[in-house]
Amino acid sequence: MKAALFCILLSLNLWSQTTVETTSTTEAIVPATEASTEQTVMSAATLPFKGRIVEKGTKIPMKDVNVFLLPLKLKTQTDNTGAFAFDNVPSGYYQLVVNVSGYKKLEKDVAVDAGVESLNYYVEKETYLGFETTVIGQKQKRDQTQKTLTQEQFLSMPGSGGDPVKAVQNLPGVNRVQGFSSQVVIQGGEPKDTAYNIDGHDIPIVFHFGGLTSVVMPEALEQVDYLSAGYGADYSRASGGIIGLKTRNASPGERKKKSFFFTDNLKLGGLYETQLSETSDILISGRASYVGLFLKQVAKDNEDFNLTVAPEFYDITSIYNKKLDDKQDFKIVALASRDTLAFVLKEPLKTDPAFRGNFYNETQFYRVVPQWTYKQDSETQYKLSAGVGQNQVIFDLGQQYFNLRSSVLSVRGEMEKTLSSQWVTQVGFDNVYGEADVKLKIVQPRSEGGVSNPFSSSEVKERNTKGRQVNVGVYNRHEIKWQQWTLVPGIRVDRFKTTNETYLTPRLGLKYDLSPTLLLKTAGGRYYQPAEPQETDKVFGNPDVKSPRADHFTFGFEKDFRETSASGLTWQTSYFHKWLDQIVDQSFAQVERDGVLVDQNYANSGRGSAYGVENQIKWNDSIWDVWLSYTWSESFRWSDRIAKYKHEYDQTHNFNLVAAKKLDNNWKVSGRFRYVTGNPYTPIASGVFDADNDVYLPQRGSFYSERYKDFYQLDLRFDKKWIYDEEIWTLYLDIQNVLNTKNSESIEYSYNYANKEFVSGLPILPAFGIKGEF
Amino acid sequence: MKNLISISLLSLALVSCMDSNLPKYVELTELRVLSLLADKPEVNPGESISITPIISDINETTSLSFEAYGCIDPGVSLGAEPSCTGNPTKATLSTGTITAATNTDMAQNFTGAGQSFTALAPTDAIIFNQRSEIDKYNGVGYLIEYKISNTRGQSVNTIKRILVSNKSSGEKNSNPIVDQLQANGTGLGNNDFPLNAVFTINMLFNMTSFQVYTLKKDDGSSENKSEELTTTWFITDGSLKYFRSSNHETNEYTAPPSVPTTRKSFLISISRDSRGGVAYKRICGGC
Repeated sequence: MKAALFCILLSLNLWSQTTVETTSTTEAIVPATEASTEQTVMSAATLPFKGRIVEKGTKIPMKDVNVFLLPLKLKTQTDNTGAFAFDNVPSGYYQLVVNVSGYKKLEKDVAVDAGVESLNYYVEKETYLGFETTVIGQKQKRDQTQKTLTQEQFLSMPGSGGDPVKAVQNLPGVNRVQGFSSQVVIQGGEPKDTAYNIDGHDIPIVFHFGGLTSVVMPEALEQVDYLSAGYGADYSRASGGIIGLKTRNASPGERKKKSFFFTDNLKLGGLYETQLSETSDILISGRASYVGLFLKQVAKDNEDFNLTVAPEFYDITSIYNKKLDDKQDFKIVALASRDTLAFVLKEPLKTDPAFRGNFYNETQFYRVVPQWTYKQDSETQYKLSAGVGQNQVIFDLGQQYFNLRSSVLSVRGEMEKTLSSQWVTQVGFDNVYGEADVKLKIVQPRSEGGVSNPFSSSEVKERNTKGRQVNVGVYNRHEIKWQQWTLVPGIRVDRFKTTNETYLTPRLGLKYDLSPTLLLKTAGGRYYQPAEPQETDKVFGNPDVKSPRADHFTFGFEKDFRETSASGLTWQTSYFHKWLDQIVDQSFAQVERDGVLVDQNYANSGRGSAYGVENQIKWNDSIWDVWLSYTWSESFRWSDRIAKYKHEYDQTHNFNLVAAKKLDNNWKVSGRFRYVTGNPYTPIASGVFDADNDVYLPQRGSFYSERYKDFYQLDLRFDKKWIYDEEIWTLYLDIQNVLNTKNSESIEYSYNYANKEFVSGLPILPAFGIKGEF
Repeated sequence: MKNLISISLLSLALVSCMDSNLPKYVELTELRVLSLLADKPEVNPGESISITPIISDINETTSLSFEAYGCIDPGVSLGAEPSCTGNPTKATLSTGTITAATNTDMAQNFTGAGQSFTALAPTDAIIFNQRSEIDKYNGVGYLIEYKISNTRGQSVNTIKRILVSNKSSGEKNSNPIVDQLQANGTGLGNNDFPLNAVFTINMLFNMTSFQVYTLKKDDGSSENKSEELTTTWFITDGSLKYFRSSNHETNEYTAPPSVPTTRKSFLISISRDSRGGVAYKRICGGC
């Protein structure tokens, strides 16, 4: 009867209310005379009994946990290191009991004897598959257009292979990219309209070769932020939006050090983090591909295709953080990435004789991002960071080449001042300096309406040049609260030295808390995206080209039906509209410059618009996590030469349903279903034979006047964790395109464009991976 | 630029890996123009050029109709439409009908050299108007547009550029010269069509074909370059291992067991020097 009462009290977690909150001291909860009558006592001699309570698998010490010794009914509490001690325990056999909410009850038979050493006792979590929906109202977000995916979310997103940037494609407003690419296209824009950064500093590429995986170790990231129409004044230079990769701090925590190793179909890698001192930690991680080894074996018997360097990549992500004092924090992030591929094509591609001979591609970059934060007082905070690095691209194709080596320094700084309880202001700068050494000898094919002319038919141009890039931006942002209203005005000045342009760009956000769970919001602003280097080059481009402009407007609401509960439904809907002007289009005209006719190459002749409605409904509880994104949108372009037409990324309907269910024994099953309206494409009406170059030139029909078939795909993912005392093993199986749907991804034409076939995307494709955490 | 190239290459590589049912470039089955052969690929302003189309339409039995136009190149290699339509310098060069009576080649399944026509390059006041000295030296293109159609409703549009430059005559480009089309190391006569075996075939060019020339660059510097010759192979029967070869590089031709009874068989080579120079060789089976 007494034991039953004891258990009830334990399970109700009321016991602690009846005991003194002292660690490492032992208290009898019943008279000692009763305890001494238990049969397990071997002798009247008493001994100390010590140990540590740690979380099973992760080895995280569990502090302030009640530990019971039965049947003596002694109780003690762990300290910050998870250690506990019972004094004066009669030698004998007992049961150690730990019962903590969210963990499986630990009942361990123990012996108290003179020779027994202090041991670790492992308490298993009820589940190691936790997930949480955090986008609405939970994450600290400065920008109302921001959507955030946490590490936990993107690591287990079905169909994304644990990749943080690929997972963004499940968010509303993100267009599906046709073909074999993983670029992120935002709200009817183009891939080049999306900027990628790490901790606020631009990186030149975000994906390894072929979009297989992004260039950063996912587990080194805290979250990935997605900024779309109407984003704030602290960012600029992207007319579509921003994908921000935010690194986490190295934090081995109480364990002092931790690590993991993984391997999957494509790559292997690992991460190690450790405490360097009481105030500093370091994280080192890296990944390398090995898929090239298999491809090389496959290709070795093909005498027409000699894979001289198999496609390989590696990346390294390191983080060092130090707390300088109570007010100052320092962090430095280092990121390096390299991709290589080389082959010899003996037989030219049938569509283009220029594709023949030696091909070599090497892309590498590194960035070192030191960051300093200073909280002067409760009202003033300073942030300063830099991105220092180099980019290198080597691209050789037969006699043609493109070699680029550039050095980049980006600097960001911000002062945040709380002027009153209702008014916070930020003043900052966001500058980029770069020097590039470019050597190229390459064709510049016409590429219009999504149809490229053959390289063979295009003029080879040569250029050895050094260029300098200076983009300077300063901004001032305010956040003013008045009753239920929050006004977020911002102003930004951008200077693009290459094109000698200075722009004043206003931004404005407005929020209204209609109720504690219903938020109305609107935002808008003007954005300039610098013209690309080849567009302003005097040989390949047009030095008179200006930066494209975009005006954004969005309004919508966020409703949290969860009230105060941790689970339930959230819903957000917003309308966006973008007006695009000064878009840089290819020009085939000749213009007079310095008294002679020259090719214009590019002109600011393009215009466009995109609008749509985004919806995101999410449900989460302890078992289910369901995420539904649906976007209706339209996107148009036109120019002086070409009448208004549906744009390449006009996707009327874009539907994503992601659902995950936790099962017993650390199993999790999840799935993603996608339906997207087929992208428009430009039909090719016929071909004209270019007798000099032995190739046909495509004759474009009306731009984007036909569509691919609608896209739909089901992906499934299974995760299983095995929890051992001091390690966790995870196995996942990610099956893409379970229904083996033959979605058309591109078109192959006959040599004269008289016939065509649609090329299907990937068939059912299982991917697996295993990860060991230590 | 680099992204465009990478994506294009990847896409083309993926497409090229596919087992396609689309018509093959090397197989002559429908109306084709294989080349426009100019007697002078590079000329002075105001100079005349004789142009011979190399065509094939083995299923045609009656006639082919053609039209030929000339105009100053609007910048096709930069993306301009490959046509003289709407061009203020457009001139009609020739129109006509090709029949079996046109010449021997046309009598043999309409495969080979078609009816020649003449073009006249514009004078320097026209074609060199506002052109830089670099353009004048490297050459400004005079575009030849050739449209041909058959009685079955098929048509092919073809373009060719004649370079008009102020180079001296010794510096100007000329057509490559084929010494032999060889099968298993032996030169083939025009009617020595190989049959019923696998043959190693290659071109043997006169060494004067590999011209060294000077190209002026945008920065004012000059670069000496040597011509590379690329041969494209066409067949009506059998199969080829490759459809192009470089210089004297060999190819492999699996010849048919016999020539069809209803028509001739052909093995044709078109060799190009990448500057508009062309050489043509036809081996006929059953002729």
